[in-house]
Amino acid sequence: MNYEIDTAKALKSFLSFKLADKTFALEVEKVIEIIEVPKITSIPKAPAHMKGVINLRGQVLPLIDTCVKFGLPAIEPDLNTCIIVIDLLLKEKTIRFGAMVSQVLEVLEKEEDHIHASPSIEANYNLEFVKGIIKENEDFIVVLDIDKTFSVEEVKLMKNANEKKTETSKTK
Amino acid sequence: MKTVLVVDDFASIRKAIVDTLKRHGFNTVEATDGKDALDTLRSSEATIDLVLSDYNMPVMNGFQLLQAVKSDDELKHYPVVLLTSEKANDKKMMAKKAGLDAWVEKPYKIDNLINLLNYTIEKSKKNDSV
Amino acid sequence: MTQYDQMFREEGNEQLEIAEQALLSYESHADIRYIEEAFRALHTFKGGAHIFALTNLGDFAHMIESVLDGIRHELLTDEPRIADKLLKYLDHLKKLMNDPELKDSQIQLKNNQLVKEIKALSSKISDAIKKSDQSKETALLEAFIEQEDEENISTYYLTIQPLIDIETGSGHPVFGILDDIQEMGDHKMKPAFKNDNSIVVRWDLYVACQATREDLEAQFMFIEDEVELTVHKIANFNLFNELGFEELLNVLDKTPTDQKLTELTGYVESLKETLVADSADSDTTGKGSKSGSIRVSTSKIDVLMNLVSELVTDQAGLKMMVSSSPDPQFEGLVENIERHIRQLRDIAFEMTLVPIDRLMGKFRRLVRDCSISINKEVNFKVTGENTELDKIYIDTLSDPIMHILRNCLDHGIESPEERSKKGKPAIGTISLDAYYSGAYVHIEISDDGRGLNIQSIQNKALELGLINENDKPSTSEIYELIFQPGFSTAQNVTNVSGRGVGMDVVKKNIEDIHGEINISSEAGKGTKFTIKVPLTLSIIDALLVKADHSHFVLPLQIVHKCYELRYDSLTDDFNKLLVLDNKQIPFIDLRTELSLDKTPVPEYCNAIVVKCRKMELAIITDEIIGEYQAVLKSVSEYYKHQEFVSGATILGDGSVALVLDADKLVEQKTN
Repeated sequence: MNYEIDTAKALKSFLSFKLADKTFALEVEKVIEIIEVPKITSIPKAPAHMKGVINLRGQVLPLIDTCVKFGLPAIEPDLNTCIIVIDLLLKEKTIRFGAMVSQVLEVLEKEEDHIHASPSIEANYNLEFVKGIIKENEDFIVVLDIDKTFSVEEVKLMKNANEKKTETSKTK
Repeated sequence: MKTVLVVDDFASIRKAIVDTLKRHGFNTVEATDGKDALDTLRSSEATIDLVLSDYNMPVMNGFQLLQAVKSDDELKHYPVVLLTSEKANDKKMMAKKAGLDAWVEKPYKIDNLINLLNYTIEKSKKNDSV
Repeated sequence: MTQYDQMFREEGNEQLEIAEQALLSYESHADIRYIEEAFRALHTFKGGAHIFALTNLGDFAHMIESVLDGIRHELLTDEPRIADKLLKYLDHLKKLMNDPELKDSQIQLKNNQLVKEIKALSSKISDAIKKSDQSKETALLEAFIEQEDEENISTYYLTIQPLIDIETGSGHPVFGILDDIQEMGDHKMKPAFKNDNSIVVRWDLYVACQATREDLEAQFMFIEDEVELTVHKIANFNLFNELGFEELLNVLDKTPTDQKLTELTGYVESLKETLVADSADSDTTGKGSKSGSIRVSTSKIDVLMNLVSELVTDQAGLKMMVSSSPDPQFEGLVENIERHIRQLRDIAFEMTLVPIDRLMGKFRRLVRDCSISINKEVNFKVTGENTELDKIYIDTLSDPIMHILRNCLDHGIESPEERSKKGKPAIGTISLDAYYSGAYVHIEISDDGRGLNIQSIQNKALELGLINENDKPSTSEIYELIFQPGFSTAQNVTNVSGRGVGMDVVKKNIEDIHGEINISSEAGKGTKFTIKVPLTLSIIDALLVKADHSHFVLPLQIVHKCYELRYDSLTDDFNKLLVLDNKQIPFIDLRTELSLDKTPVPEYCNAIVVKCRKMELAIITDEIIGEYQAVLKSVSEYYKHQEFVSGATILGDGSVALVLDADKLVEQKTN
């Protein structure tokens, strides 16, 4: 009986990874695979977090520097650097892209109700991109809302923001 | 008042047609098949202006009735209209050759049927007087 | 009427009884006479049902009748247990007698199921008829039938000219006949009167129906000495479903009688061009032998195209290997493979691509017909009609483009008077320009009309609740509103564009094929729609170049000439013009333009003169690596704003090179 009750609480898997020295996580079901960093072709005039494109077995994938995306210094690829390949469903279209992270840690299994709602402690990050937090040992890990973090709209907004910046700097 | 001989073996249809015609100011005489119609035409005291007949009927069908009317010098002045759900063009053609005056397909629109009957009667009267 | 109902019920049941007996006899003794007996009974039943407006009963009886007719004419010879089936249908008909309106959902279900079953039988019969009937239309039209016509609907043009005076409202039988014909299907009828009074001199009737020409002629059989009839079969499918047909009909109203038929056939020809072109291609090989074409599913074609792309990429790798290990035998082999892959690529192209020119006949016609019907004069300019795109997309694009063209004509271009008042030429211009950009084909449709009215779009959107009072949408966001469902420009519905299809459908159609559509507009100057459609197979011959540490690819098609010059000679020129062969040419240095500065500038560089759509331009690169077969891949929506990158391609060493769009480079620079 007890056994049944236990399984009724659905387990959810999270992939934890590091951006600089901070730990984050995302839901595993969005992850297609994890690859090493291949040769990157940068695209001129793109926003800083848009690192460029890579060749994944004949497919050209856009690559995002997740650190820059969260306002951290750009990743200087080393042996630990990995690319998490993610599928994003946007307006009925699936977009596949690579998210470069400083280090991939492990897969954590948590019961669904162990995800806590918006944190107040990690106020450093844009709350909009945060899905919740999970507790691992004594640490709190921020779970990212992938759909929001990497949406094309979001990229567009960034671009507009850049444009506005340049505009205002011009007027000065 | 114009008088129409309504020929149909289906009593319900016959009655429906008769009622419609009466509502539109026609006199009606009824017959249940071609043979009956022919007898009526030959014996009738009342003047009949037009024969409106079904095609498929037992004993003597509409086409046979038409042939009988048009080949009889006494009767051939009666305009004949066939009212039928037959669609075959060859049957229509044969009927036309046999002297049919008009062919109405079921289902029909009442107004169109009435117009056609009036028109056919007028036309045959004109032809007779010439 | 209930008393007839009751009577009909009795007599109807009698007929069904007769039919049932006949079928039972047929089951034990297959004599055609029994079938004929059942046929007659059902026929009578059907007539009665129709008179009492018991449509379901009549229709169902009619369907059984047609199966019986098939058996009677030995067109349904090998159907097992046919009598059994027919009896089942009769049983159902009996049940229908008690529920002619199909109120009981069970009966309705059963009805639908049986109707389907009978239709399957009927189609076997009509197939058999087709087989036995050799004397049909021309081979060209047959190809047409296969494509378009599933229900045997044809479109006819009838002219009816009274030989006697026929007045409207006179109750002449011709009115009843015209009524009946119009009930056969989609139609349009236009009477012409004698000197403005009510005497008709002529009817023009266009109708799409299942009837044959003979059927239509037979309708007039009994008044043939009173009217003169001509019946033209103008298409063996329903033209009323074709875009532009209604406009054409409007035009026909204004066309002299003797030219109407020419107009009609011209229109149908323009439709055929787009539809039958596929088979026409292969037909040139020889007469008599049926063109040796087969049908292949598009998914298989997709797989094939992907494999061709992969092969081209692999081959680039091979070529790189061979350059580092000069074994003559290996080299020869690789060269052979390269040649074969190139041939394979060309054939793949031929299989999948068609020039957009295919659609132009239809478009020109639409613009012409529309402009006549709304009294606007328009010049339709087409460029890039040789641009090729996927066959499977061509049809999908046709309707959206037609719709946009109508919009341009209807809402964009002003009336001649309004135009002259504004100081514009009285004749408006609509241009359609198709061109390649990387792995996409762009189709631009622009007019020089009044432009989009931002205010009225915004008002409309407010009214529809698409935006809020407080929203401050940007101009481009406002244009986007046009593509919202429900945002039809219904306030000025005319018979040209008020056909109930909105721009949302246009957008959806285009997005269905992974394309996109954008609008730009300038008040008073005009509107431009740009449709971007991906090519499923896009392998181009390209020039591979290097600037700084990056590889770029330029379509060889636009490359005109290459020069070598000192890099420092560029900086001397303040006008940003280069003198090559005594000609002044503007240039774009990729290093400065794309902020590439990882490696020191070279001593010598290359100037590649390319022909953009609007100008000639020199592109400055460090190095020209050579010709390259590039398989174009999309660089994803994330790089939507880096427009000068029209795609990417994978090089022999597995790295990615960007495909440059010279036109967009120029645009970006001039902005």
